[in-house]
Amino acid sequence: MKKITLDHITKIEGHARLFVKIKDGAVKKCSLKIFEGSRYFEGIVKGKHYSDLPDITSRICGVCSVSHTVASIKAIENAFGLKVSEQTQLLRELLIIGGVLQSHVLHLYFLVLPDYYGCSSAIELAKKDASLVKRALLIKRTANNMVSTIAARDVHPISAVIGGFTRLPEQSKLNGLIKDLRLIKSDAEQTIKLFKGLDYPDFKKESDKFALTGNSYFYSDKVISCKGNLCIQTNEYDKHFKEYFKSGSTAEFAWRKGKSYAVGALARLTVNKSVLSEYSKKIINDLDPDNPFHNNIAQAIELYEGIMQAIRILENLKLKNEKMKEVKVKACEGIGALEAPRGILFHKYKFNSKGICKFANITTPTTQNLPHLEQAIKEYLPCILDKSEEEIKLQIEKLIRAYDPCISCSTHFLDFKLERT
Amino acid sequence: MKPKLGIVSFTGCQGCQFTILFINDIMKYLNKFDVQYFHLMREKNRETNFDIVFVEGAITSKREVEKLKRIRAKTKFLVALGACATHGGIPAMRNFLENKELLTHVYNQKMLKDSIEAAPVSDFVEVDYFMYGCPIIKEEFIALTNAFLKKKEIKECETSVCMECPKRGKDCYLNKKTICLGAVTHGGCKALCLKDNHPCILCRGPIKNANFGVEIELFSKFGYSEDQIKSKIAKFYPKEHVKWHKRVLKRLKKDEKNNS
Repeated sequence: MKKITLDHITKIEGHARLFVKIKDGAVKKCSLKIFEGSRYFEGIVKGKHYSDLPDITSRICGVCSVSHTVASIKAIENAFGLKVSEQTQLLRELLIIGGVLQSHVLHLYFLVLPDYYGCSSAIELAKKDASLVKRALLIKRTANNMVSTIAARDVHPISAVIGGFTRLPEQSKLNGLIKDLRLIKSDAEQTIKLFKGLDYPDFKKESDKFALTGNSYFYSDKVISCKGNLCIQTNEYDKHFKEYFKSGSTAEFAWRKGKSYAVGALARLTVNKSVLSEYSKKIINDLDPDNPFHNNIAQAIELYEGIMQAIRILENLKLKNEKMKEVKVKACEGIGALEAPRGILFHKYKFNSKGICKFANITTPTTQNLPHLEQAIKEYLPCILDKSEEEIKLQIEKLIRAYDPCISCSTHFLDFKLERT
Repeated sequence: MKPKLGIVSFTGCQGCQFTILFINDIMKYLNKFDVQYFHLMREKNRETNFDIVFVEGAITSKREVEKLKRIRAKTKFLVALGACATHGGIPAMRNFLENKELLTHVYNQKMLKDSIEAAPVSDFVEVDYFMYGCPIIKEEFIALTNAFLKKKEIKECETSVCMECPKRGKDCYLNKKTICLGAVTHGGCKALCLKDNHPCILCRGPIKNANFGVEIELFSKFGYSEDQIKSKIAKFYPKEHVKWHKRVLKRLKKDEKNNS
């Protein structure tokens, strides 16, 4: 029996391990284990006042803190029946796009690209080709600037709160942002070219793909669609997607009717083709939605799409001072759903008549993608078993990184173990 | 030779590492060091003899304790990075879950066998610098790394957020009967939340001799319920909250008795 271990997978968000057993050239066991320390978010928010939930749940994840904050705020507002202004909605949409740009650019250039250039890290990549890292830093700067202009900080937003914003961005800063976004448009196009040109394995893993649909690509929340044929109302998500705790892991894994499914950039592009720009529509024709490695290209397309949509919103945005909406406390429950960088994110809370949280369920994109990822590894392994152990490790890590798992979110890295006999 | 640097992450949201990566010319700063350990960025990571290590996250398992001690033994200058590492932060909230049922609520069956009470880094090893905040402040990271390279001494801010607050005086949240924890929270952040009209949430942890009793009494007088006050104080520094809360409740009850 041969075994290979990936002990603590690097360049992903969080801590995970992969254990693989091979017997007579066949995969006998393939198990993804998450060993990130548990923080019991759904437990610790119980007993907390509703007004403290966004600050706490933002800390589920440093890279998608924006998504958790806004999902939490939306769940609370939906619960108490609070309607916010159109301006607040638009600013939140910009915030979510900013979060997607932040996350995708880091993932593509810092975590994925070094693998394809034979480098250990972006630091080495910078020595090999400084222009690549320079481009990444430029996009990153604008994305961070976008989030901190709107929400006062690039990690763990401050001014985005229940009922609106504690302070509005200055119009001059928004104008500056439009200029910066126009400047990085060509960098996003270069990014698409770069990631389309990488040598990806010809591997297929068919799946149901789910994404939120509506008028907006990045900020719809009513209906969850699967390639256009199955529609689920957001408020019934927990009847369809079930989470299970996996023994030996501190993370949850989500399934639908006993089947794994996929969320994230590739799923969004597949489901929401109609609301894309003409440029992106043309490019996605070259994508294979069933090749998980193409999620990298999908993220590159979303960088472009995000920039274009943010420019469009900003060009039409004339800010006016508004009074913040206030909550009328009552016993209630509510769901907040949105597209986080890695896929659909749900926050669901129940409150008592004093506004104290009595129940919380938080379903993150990675929780939903983990079963699919684990199966994909199992199916991909036989294709590469003739290769050296080093090469197998590298290929598996490339596959894992293409899913962009965010382990802090699902517990919350990869140790890889392969056993061969 | 460039100093050897490590960024080691335990239990948390990794937001402090991202804050470091989000520094505009981050490559310039990292290039001043020989980065030996940084899981988020690098394939190969070595526990070597470090000149400086940033430890992120709370310590939540025996395995983490061992790793922390190993790294401390090889490190000249160790920085606790962010609220989880300096105070236990959000992960330490789990220590105060009211009952076992809550624990089972999230990950319904098994808990990791080697799990311990979530605790700050300084509970197990000596810390040379506490970088407070959730997340840390970029400028402080730059100031510290520059000082380290120039072999200059740098000290944590010891005064409260109030001392830096633009709302001191008539705009003070306490005058508006809004819960703000600036008076008991470590400064050094230039009161960035208050600048953006958000009350202080204690993310940098309590200053020395912080008088939570006075705060809790004040907030009760404002008309906030016990649950609300508890909810606000228990976020980044649950330990202190529990200690003070019991004491103050006892006194309030006594006062009530005397008055009646």
